[in-house]
Order: sequence, then structure tokens, then C-alpha cells
Amino acid sequence: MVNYQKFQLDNGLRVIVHEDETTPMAVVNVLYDVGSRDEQAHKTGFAHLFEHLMFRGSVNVPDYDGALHMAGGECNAFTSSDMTNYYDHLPASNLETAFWLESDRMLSLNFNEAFLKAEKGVVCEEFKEHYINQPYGDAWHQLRDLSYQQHPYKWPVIGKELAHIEQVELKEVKDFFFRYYRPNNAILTVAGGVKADEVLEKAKKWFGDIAPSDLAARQISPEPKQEAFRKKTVEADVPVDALYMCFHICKRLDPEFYTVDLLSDLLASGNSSRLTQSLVKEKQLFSTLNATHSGSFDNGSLFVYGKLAPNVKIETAEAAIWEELERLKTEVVGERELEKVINKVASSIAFSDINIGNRAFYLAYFDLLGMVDAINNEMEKYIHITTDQLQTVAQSIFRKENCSTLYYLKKR
Amino acid sequence: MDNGIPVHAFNIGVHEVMMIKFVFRAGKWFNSQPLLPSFTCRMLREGTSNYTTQEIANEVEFYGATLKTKCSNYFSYVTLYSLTRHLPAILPLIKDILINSNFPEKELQTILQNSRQNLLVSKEKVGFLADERFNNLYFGENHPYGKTTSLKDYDEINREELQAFYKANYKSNNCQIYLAGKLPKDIITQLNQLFGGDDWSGDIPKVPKYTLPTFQHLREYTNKPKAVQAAVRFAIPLFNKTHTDFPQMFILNTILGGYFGSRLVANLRENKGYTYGIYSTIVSYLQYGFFYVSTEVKAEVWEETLDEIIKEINRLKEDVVEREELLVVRNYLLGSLLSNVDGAFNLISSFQGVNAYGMTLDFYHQLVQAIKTTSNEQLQTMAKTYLNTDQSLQVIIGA
Repeated sequence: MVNYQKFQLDNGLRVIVHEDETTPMAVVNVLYDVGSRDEQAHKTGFAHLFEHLMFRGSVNVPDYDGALHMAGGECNAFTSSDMTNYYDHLPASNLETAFWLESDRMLSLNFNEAFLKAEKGVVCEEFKEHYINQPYGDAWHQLRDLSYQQHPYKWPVIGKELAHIEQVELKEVKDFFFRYYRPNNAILTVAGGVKADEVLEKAKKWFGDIAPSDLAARQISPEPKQEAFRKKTVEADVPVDALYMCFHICKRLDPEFYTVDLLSDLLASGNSSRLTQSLVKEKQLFSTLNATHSGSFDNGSLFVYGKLAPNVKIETAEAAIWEELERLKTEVVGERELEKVINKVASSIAFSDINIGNRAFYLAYFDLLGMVDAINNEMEKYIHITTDQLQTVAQSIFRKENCSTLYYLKKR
Repeated sequence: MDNGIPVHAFNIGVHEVMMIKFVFRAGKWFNSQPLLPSFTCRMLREGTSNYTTQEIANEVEFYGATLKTKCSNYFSYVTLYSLTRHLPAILPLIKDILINSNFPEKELQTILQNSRQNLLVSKEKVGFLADERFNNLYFGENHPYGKTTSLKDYDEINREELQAFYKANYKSNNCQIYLAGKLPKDIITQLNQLFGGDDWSGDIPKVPKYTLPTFQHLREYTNKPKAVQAAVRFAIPLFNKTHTDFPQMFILNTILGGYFGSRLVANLRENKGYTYGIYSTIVSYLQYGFFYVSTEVKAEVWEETLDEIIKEINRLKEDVVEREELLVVRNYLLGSLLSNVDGAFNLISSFQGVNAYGMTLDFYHQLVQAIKTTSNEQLQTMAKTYLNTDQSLQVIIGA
């Protein structure tokens, strides 16, 4: 059971406190309701670049990291398609330092041309390190681009191309900040060896006078329904052929989401999963094979992807995956197999909850979704799922015309 | 336990989760072909005389548990993460894995084949190539840490040798157990019943000995066509964490490249934007240690990067660290040590990290003392004494 108390300041900032007296540490987590889905198609990668700039000093604090390190703390952040999340871990006795730092960078940043230039360099190197200078590095770029025609999930968080990052101007950085990085677009979670009344008092003191923005509700037109099978072949300097498949799934808040989550676990979570047992171990068609889903706020994706075993034709490997997907549609999953994937969810939640940082983040995450109580009752959504539901949802997802397939082949 | 297996436990936590880890001296060190210990360990999940690979996976995963096997440099590990209440149901299977593994040929061939494919992919990555080349130069081709793996090495792995290595090394008198989390009340009884007998003891093979090649100052650049980033590795021979000067060097390293506020990060990432990340560390093996810098940088600036690394090291020798900078590092390190001892899982890994060397948690007390008291002059002396850049190994893979 994760205890929490929730408040809202007059400027719209949501504040959640989780007290855990067993730890001497505190976590301050600030989640902003902005991600790469809020970007435009010709200016991608911006939300993530912006996240980097949040560590370049704010109006009254020239060196964010240095100030936090001085208080014995560490910090980091991540950007996804749907959100940008910042967190500071520090001894609970120094909690107020994190309030000072986080509130100052919500008040205003130190907008600076030289920093922007250097940070563009850093992000371009990050782009190269993970997406260019790696075999298959651009596969996800290719697959998203194939699977989405309109929705901003069409490009990855890092951005569509280096040029988009290189072209960013300081004015855009400022505009973005004053539009999205406002208290009414943020959730502050404080967890650990802290007291709720003190946290609320400090939140008012440090964040209370930051002006809100008049941010209009987000308007992203939904991705049109895919009507026909899509396929693309890429040849590149890679040593092994690889196959990527992408299926459209529901959004995170759809009740069906939990069933989709279990389906992807049935397929590829752990060594006992269907794809691993059947296609990696028994038939030896793949050397690696995975299934994951994006869990995104708008209609998302379920991915099945793997690298082929030697001397296997990609068409054969692809057909074998379809055979496994068909099985989910035509045969009812056994009760014990369902119980297994439900137990796995229970265990993942329990292990995730050990970590104070996870508790802080998930409180904010669920609150952003408008269901903060899911921090304690999400498991109930899984335990009532039936084998019939698994079959019905499998039938709706695993259809050719809902699928985009990428052949990523070794150049012959 | 009854048969003498040491059990180290942190029985704290409010969540109903736990970890049990069996540690054997059966890492790469124990064969000059390190793939043998690696695949022995990897195959432990692949079948016993009582369970097939599928049954092992099903049994563990049915309870939502995770079973991991890992072969590191000196030790090998079999680790189970489980909800506390499910432990009794899974432990007998773990026992079977530890005493009855039978290395099925079919599973072995599948894993070898997949490993070949993975190696082909890894050899396309500059980071992998740089690590491999660095280890080869530092430790030598005859040392298990330095041996380069090629595809044909996998052809020589066979079931009989794996089984022999397993039978010789996975023994109760070569084992230690680490426990963390919220443990069942009768944990020691449960463990004794399964693992506390004399049914799995035996003579342990002699520990192999290796000599390192004479260290040679070297900068070696290898071209990897079309690479858009260069992987850079830089090392100076040093000592491991048992040395009396380790705590002071640890602080010095933190200033130089050991945290996000370090000089190397400020210089090459924050100011120049050449890299997404650069760090330095004191690599500590049971038998060796060296100071080590690792980064991947924009391809055309690798030489400048090495110049800057050397410049930053020399700056530590020429000028004492400013009071303010030292204070930041002190506070940062004290905070990070506090989080390293927060909770059972962090505690056990901090403990394991010193117990392997025969040291106690006193190591951390001494470290804290050093962090609080080491002066900037002492740090300067450390830099002058130990960081001789004219005796460094520099490996670059780029284009």
C-alpha cells in the first residue's frame, strides 16, 4: 500500500506527498504534461532537447547540478512521447534545496545562445550514439514512420533527423517554456522521509507565486484507422536479417489496455513465453525475439521484433510469427498460462514499489492519467481478465490490415 | 549453514519481496577459454535431470519470479527474485539446478547459434570493439579477461567440458549465499534442508594463475569505416579497492570524471558538446585495478578528446582543487553513499562489493572518513603519484 496525500495550489500545481519514514532519502519528482507528441512534424526532437536545457541553469541558479550535488543529491530526467519527467534524489534533511532548484527552473530558465549551441551538440551525439552508429539504429524510425501516417507518434522522441535539432532557435525554446513549463501543466511529487504538512508548506512557499499559463487543451487529431497491410524493406550494413512488426492498439486509458498488456506478456515475457519457446527454442527461427507495447496515452502500438537465426528466410520467420498470433485468435489460452502472466504483473508491481523513486514517479504518472488511486488498485484491473477477453482482443489486434512490417535485411 | 556455506542476509523491508543469490568462484578467471565458465553458467537454466528448459521457465515464471544466471570475471551467480511467499515453491528447483543440471545438447546448440548471431551484431559496434581491443592489449590474449572471441570459438564449446566444469566448481564448499528483502521466518531452516547437507561438496580445482603482459605505453587507432562516432578508452595501471590510497583516489576520480558534475563532463559534454557522455572510474578487479576513461565522441574529435583528458589529468597535478569544488564532491559522495545503504537490496550489493575482497563494511566507514577529511593538497599528491599519462593505454575505434 502506497500512502499519499494530494493537494492543488492556487496556480494549478498539483502536489502529491508520499511519506515513507523507513528511508533517510527524499525524492522530488516533477512531471510536465508535454512530450514529443506535442511537436510539429518539421521540428521533431524538440521536447527532448528542451529537457536537456532544463539542466543549463535557471534565472537565479547558474548551475543546477552543482547546487544539487552540494546538497548530496543526484538528478536526472527523461522525455517520452507523452510526458517529460524530472527527478532529484537527495538526503531528506536537505529537501528544501530541491524545492529551491525545481521552483527556480519552473519560474524561468537562463536562456543562453552558447548553452543552446553546446546542448544541440550533445543531443546530436546522443542521436548518433543510439540511432546512427549502431546496427539497426534507425529501425524504430522506419517502423514508426510506416505505422503512423499523421499522429506525432510517427517520429521517435529523439527526433526524426539531426537537422531538426540543429535548426532549433532560442526563441522557440523560450516560447515552449512559457507555454508548457507552467505550474498548471505540472505535477510535483515528494516522497520518502518527509512529512506531508511540511511538504505542502514548502510547495506553497517555493512554487505558490509562479504564474500559470492559459494553456489550451491539447488537440492532436487521431491517427486514421489503418485499412491495409503495410510493408517496407530496408537493406543496410548489418550482419543479420531482422524483422519488425507493429500493430495498432488502444490508448492507455482504454479498459482494453490491460488485456493488451497481458497479451504482450504471453507472447514474449520471459523464457516460458510463447514466442521464445516456440520460435527461438523449438523451431530456432530467431536468435532473439521480443514483444512490447508502447503504453502510450493516445492509441499506441504493439511491437513484435527479432533477429533471425542463420539461413532462415525472412518470409518463413514472418509466417511463423503469424502462426503464433493466429493461435491466440483461434485457441483459448489456458487458465494456468493466464494465471502466470497475472502473477508476473503482481510481482513486477511489488518489485517496482521497493524503489522510492518509482513510487514517486508512478504517483505522478497515474495522476496525470487522472487515476492516482491506480498506484494501489491497478492490480485489480488485471485479475478479472478472462481467457475469452484475451481471445477477443487478440482477434481485433492481430489482423494483417492492422499491421506494418519492416524487413531490415543484410545488404547482399 | 550446517555444511559451512556462509549466508549473508539483510532481512529488512516492508515489501513482500526478496532476493537469494548463490555465488560460486566459477567466473571467467577459472578457464583460459572464458567462454567455458560463461556457457556453463548460461546453461544452468536449460535443463536438469528432472526438469526441461521449458519446465524450469514455466515453474519460475508461474510464480512471477525471475531467475538470472550471470558469469562475471571471478564469480558466477544464480539469482532468484521472488515474492517472499513463493520462495518455498521455487527453492527445490534451484537446488536441482545447482546439483542436477544436465546441459542438454539441443539447448546448447540453440544458445551457441544465437550467441554467434549476437557476436556478429556486437562486432559492428565501436563501443564493443574498443572494449574488446582494450582488454586484449591490457590483459593479453592468454588471459581470460583479454581473450578475443571469434565465431570459431563457439564451435569448440561442447557439452562434456561444460559438464565437467560444472561438476568441479558448483559445489557447496565453493558457494556463498546472499539474501535480501523481507525473508521468510524459517529461511535458514528452509535453506538448510535443501542446501545445508554434504551431498554437494567436493574437491575444488586449484585456482589458475596468470601473468599480465608488461604494460606498454600505447595509443592505438583502428579504423571502422563509416563510423560517425569514435569510441575512446584511456587507462593508467593502478590498484584495486583494497589499497590504502583507494579512498583518496576515489575522491580524485570523482572530481575528474566520476559524476555528472565532473571536469571531464563539464569540458567535453557541457562546454564542447562533443559527446553524450564521458566518465572515468577506478576499475577494481579482485587481482588488479586501473584508472579508466570511457567515451564515444564525434568521430573527428577523438584526438582532441584524448588531449583534453590528458590536460584535465595534468591540471589535477598542477593546481590544487578549489575548496568549493571539493566541498561539492564531498557532499555529493556522502549523499550517494547514503542511498547505497538505503534498503535491503542496496545494502546487500554494497556488502557484496567488499566481501568479495575479504573486506568488511568498515571499508565504507573508512571511505566516509576519507571523504570528510582528505585535503586538496593530498588529492594533488595522489594525482602526481598515480596518474602518469606517459604510462597509459589509449584505444580508439573510429573513422
